[in-house]
Amino acid sequence: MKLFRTLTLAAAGLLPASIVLAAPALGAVEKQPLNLNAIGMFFVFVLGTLAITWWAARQTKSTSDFYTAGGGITGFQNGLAIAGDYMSAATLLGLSSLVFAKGYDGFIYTIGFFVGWPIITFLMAERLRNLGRYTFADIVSYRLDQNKVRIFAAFGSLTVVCCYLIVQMVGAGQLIKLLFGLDYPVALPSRSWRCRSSVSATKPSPTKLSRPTPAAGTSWARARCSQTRSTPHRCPWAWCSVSPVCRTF
Amino acid sequence: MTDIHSTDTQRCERIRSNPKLLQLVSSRSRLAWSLSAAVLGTYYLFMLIVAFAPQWLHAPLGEHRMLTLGMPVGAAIIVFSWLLTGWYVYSANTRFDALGAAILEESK
Repeated sequence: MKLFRTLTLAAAGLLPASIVLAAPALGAVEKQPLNLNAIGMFFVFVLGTLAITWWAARQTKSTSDFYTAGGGITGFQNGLAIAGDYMSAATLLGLSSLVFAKGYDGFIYTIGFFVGWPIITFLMAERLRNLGRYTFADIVSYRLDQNKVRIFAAFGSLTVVCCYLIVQMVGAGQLIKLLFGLDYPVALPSRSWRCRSSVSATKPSPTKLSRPTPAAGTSWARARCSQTRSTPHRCPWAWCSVSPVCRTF
Repeated sequence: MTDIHSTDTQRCERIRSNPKLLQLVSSRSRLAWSLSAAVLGTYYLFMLIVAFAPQWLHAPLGEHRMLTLGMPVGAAIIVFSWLLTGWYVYSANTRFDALGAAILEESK
C-alpha cells in the first residue's frame, strides 16, 4: 500500500513539470483577446458535469451500479456512454489534426483505431460479463495472487496514464489558451478541472443474471474476499455462458 | 455447508452434461472467432495494400475528381466492422441468450 502511495505521489509530482516543459515545444499558438463568454460557457459545462456526477454517484450503491449502471440501461443509452468515453480529446483533437496534417496516412491510423473495437466485443465482452468482473485486474486476480496482480496493474495503468495525460493536457491547454485568451500557465489548470462522468458497459443485458454484488458500504475488495471464501468450489467452466449460476448459490 | 456444496456440485455437473451447453459454447466461439478473422483479415489485407501497392489507392474515383479510391475503401472497412458488431450483438441477444436461458431452465 505504501508503495502505491509513493508511486502515485511521484507520478503526481512529475506530471505538472513535464506538461509545463512541453509547452514551448509546441510552438506559438496565437493568443486571442480574453473571451468572457467562452469562459462562462466553460463553467456552465463544468457545473453541469459536476451536477450529473453528483446525481449519478448518489445512485451508485454497488460495483455493478458503478460499472454497468446495474445492468439496467438500454443499448442506446450504453451507446451514448461509450461514445462519450470514446470521443475524448484524443479522438476529437488528435485524429482530426492527424488527418489534417498527414492526409491519408492519418486516415489509415483512424481505421485501425475503429477496427480494434469490434475485436474486443467479439472475444472479450461476453466472457467479462459471464465472469461478473469488470476490469482486467479483477479477472486476473480471480485466478492469481490478488495483491501482486493489482500492484502490477497499478504500475501499468500509471505508466500509461502519465504518458497519455501529458499529451491530453498539453493539447487541451493550448486549445483553452486559443479559445479563452488566457496565458498557457493559467489555461492548463483550468482544463484539469474538467472531469468526465460517464457510465460505460461492455454489454447491457436485458435479462439480468443474478450475480454476487457487494452490499452497499462494503468495499469491493472485502466483498470479493468474503465471497471467494464462502464459495464451496470454483467452477472450472467460468468462461461458459451460464457460469454465474455455478457461483451464485 | 456440505449440503450446499453437494447441490452446487450436482447442479454444475448437470449443466456441464447438457448437450445444449456444448452447442452454445461451440456455436458462440465459432461465430466470435470467424467475425474476428473477418475484421482482422480485411484490415491486414488493407494494410498490405497500403504497404506494397499504394498506387491502387491513389487512383482517382473518376475523371477530374479529387477524391481517390482510398477514401471510400477506408470508410467501407469501418462500416463493415460496425455491421459485423451488429451481427454479433443480434446473435448474442437472440440465439445465445435463448440457449443460456434454456440451459438454466433445464438445470433447475
